[in-house]
Amino acid sequence: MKPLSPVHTVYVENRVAHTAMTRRVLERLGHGVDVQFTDDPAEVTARYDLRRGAHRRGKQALLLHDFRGEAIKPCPGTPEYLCCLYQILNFAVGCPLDCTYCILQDYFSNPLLTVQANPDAFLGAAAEILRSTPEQFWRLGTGEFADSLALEPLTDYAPLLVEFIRDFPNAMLELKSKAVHVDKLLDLDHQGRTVCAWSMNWEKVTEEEELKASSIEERLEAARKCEAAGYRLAFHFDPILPEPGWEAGYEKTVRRIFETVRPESIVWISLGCFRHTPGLEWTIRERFPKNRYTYGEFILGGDKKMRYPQPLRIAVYRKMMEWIRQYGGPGPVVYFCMENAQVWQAVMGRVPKNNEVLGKWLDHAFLD
Amino acid sequence: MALNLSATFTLMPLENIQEGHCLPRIDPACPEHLAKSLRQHGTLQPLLARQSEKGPAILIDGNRRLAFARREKWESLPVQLLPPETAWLECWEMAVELNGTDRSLLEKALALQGFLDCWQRDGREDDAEETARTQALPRLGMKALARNREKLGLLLEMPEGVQQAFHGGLLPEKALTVLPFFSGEDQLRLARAVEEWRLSVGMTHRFLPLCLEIIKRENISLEKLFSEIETAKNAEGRPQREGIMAALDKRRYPLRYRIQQEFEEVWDEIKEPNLTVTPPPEFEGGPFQFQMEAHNPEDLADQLNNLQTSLKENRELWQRLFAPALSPDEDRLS
Repeated sequence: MKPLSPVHTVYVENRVAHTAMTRRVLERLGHGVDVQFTDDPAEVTARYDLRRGAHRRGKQALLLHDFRGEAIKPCPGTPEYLCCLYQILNFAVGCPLDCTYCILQDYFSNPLLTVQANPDAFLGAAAEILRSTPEQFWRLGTGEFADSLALEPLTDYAPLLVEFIRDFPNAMLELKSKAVHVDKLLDLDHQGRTVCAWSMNWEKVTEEEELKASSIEERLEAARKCEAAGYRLAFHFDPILPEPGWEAGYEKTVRRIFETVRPESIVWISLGCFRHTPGLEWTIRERFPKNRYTYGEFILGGDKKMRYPQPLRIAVYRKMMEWIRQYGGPGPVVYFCMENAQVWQAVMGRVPKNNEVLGKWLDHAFLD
Repeated sequence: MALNLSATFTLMPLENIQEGHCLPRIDPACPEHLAKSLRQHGTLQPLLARQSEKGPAILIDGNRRLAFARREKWESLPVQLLPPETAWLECWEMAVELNGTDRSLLEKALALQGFLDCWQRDGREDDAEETARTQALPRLGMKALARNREKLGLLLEMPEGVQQAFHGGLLPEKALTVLPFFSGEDQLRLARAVEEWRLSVGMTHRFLPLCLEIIKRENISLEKLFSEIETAKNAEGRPQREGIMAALDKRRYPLRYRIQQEFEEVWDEIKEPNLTVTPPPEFEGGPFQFQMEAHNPEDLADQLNNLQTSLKENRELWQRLFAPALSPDEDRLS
């Protein structure tokens, strides 16, 4: 595990100054960290205006705030592509791992790491939503606006979430990460309602673009531990970067997954080629001048994001599917994150009729 | 924050006024419309200057009026004098008011530099640039300039020829996003190319990123790329500018180009009269749209019959028409 980007500054909203979460974070950070208390978290976020290159500063600053906003919100899909209707359990925003391709660099207006430091209020609001909709199945995750495990050394949030979700028969939780802080999850009574997932890539991308994330082998070792503790697993190949050497690279990663864990333990695998907002490529070029992949061939997709041309994506996905079936057999459910019907048809031979149908496929993959 | 121009002013002899640095003019000559107004009405607004402890007052705003007055051998001008310690703020405020339309990017960059120098010289903050960015500029309503501060700073580091290209409007402001990725030599080469090939602003917006992306991806020099553009232009025999852009596009988007080419070749073979086809944008996802022209029901029926026959007889061709969006041809992808 590469060292976590050191947090230099912690901003604490006065209303959460005495919560167990705040005390824990401050205690673990120890001395030498600048701690500032505030009544106005919005004023703090305004200091980290992304447009002027505050990325690095922001990833070294942590804001602990009271619960506000929505405890659960839909993943921001777009109508032009098929979306799995994943719901975000909004425990934190921002990520210290600093992957070069990260969409959050362009999605949010500031890079500050923010954490809901009043878990009682936050999870209370989430519980209310889950209880009030017993007929709906909630596929929840924490890995969309943040990394689910990256801040665990400071927060111990994941055990709270695992123990929270086990009491809801109409919900499951996916912890999605590039970090490996799983030891505190292993002895929990999780009731099978949490899926431990890792974002995967090929070694070159992991080494050169996922600057502070764990290596592929470390992620696989964490997955193995979670499997042994009875968790089901998931893997997400997103973003796939078909740069020179990608075929051998991705084949190796797929092979290593199935050499490390059993296919039956895998609830789903998702695939998604690199896509980005037009603004993100300039952010990446400025922040990471050595990068090459932003100079690949992209077209403007229906959702106004830059994507590889469709035939290239189809070719890449077919290869990925070939390796997944070769090493993992027919079992693992594979789906695309934000792809169109033509790609589904050309690669999978079937197309979910709409987002709801795709969502149901995944619900059943978990429930069956 | 508006400047209080009703403040008192003094008539100051010209020899007691020194041209300032905060709002420099690249070309301080007085434009004709201003000269005419000055001759007719005199100075309607006092010049703005900063007191100095010894020597002449330092001009903040009014360089062109001062140049006119000197040329016309006027004796004095009305000047509003600001105390030295607040000079940075007012001089910048004038920049705020003046930066909108009649100042070039280079002048804005120099004004910004002057502002930062003022700030630093006054020892206001250890981190003058940071404070200017996060506090002073936004407070003055200069959020856009605050955001562009680094880019304007980069402009001052570019070769003089490139700076002049910005000053003359040859290079648009957006070029500041792309040019820093090139070496100084290549920046000059690009500025010359924009001038020689007489690229419009719209074309320049496309041209610069295309060049950057090609040389980065293919690891070739800009010089080599330009030599190839010349060849491509001649071989295709297109008008110069369009030929250049087409050659660059073809090189930057080879897969897209080949998909389009395949599609057009197949459609040429099908050659169904009175029928037009439009593929989905970028061959991405959506359906192909067909449009048929007919003058009456019989005409339409005939054409539909012909179309059905064609679909039967040329089935393979029709399948190939849709294939470019779907076919992961290994050779093409390499």
